[in-house]
Amino acid sequence: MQAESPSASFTRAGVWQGMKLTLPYSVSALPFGLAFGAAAGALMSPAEAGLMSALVFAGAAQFAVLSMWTAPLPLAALVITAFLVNARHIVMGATLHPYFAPLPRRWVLAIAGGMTDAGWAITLQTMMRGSRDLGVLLGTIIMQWPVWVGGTVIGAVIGSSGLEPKRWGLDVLIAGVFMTSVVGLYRGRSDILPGIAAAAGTAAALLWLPGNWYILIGGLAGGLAGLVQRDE
Amino acid sequence: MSELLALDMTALAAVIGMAVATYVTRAGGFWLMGHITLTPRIERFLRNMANGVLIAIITAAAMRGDVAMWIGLAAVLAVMLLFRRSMTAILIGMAIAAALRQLLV
Repeated sequence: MQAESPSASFTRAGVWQGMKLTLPYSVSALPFGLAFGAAAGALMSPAEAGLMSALVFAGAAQFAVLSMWTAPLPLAALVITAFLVNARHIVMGATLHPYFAPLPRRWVLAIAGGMTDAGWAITLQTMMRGSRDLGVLLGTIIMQWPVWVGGTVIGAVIGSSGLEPKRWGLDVLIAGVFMTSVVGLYRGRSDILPGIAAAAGTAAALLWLPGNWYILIGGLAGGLAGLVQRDE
Repeated sequence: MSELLALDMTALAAVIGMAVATYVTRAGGFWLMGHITLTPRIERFLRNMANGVLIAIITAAAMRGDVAMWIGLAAVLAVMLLFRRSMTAILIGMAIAAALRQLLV
């Protein structure tokens, strides 16, 4: 209703708009939810997998921890990995902040908790067209969360029925999710050097360090290389 | 049925820890902007670090993987570069790896 108004709002119309815009993404989230569930179901119970999807609600981070999900669970490594994989959200939230700055802080901080990559992209595009409605972001969450959680549980029940993960290529599925993300996130030649640094740092860490240090070292190597190289 | 609903306390702690870490990143950008400005340098560091983590996971999978993993990943990359369809690329890579493992065993 107030889509053209310059002052920020939080309306039902905004929620509805966000939901409609997210429909195509929620359809494509289903196979990813099923795939995550199937891969996770081989390692943990469907209840644990479903709870993770419900509370963490972040596909990339959830896929990332699967390769470390072996007893005894490396708690610190799992939490740090979730933070590192999701660190991009900090930048994404910062870009949306100006549009919602006039709204009560607790509304924004509450709804931000469900911001996905797709939800952020849809919301930012809608804001750039003149809307200031926080409901749009909530709408993107309403359309994705049930699909992701439901897909996970169904996939996990299938995956827990004695599925041999390697035989079905589920390890390639997990690595493939990240391969497609890297290609999708590629922005140009300035990404090449940080990418090489990340791969080299990871290889060195895998060869000479125990445990899961390679994720932190690969991430830091990429981040630092991004700072060192000169601006294009 | 009880197996489906099994909830290990360590797993629960891991899930909650991951959820908190993820929330910090999601709310962090909104929160920080009220206090400091995110400089282009910090933004570039965060972006390249996030990409670096994704590349770290791929590198580890490749270094620890077998021939089927290598060929499967190459197929994912090729299909993704050609058609930009992530789910298609992933499923093709997975199917190739699964087929190779059937043949090689």
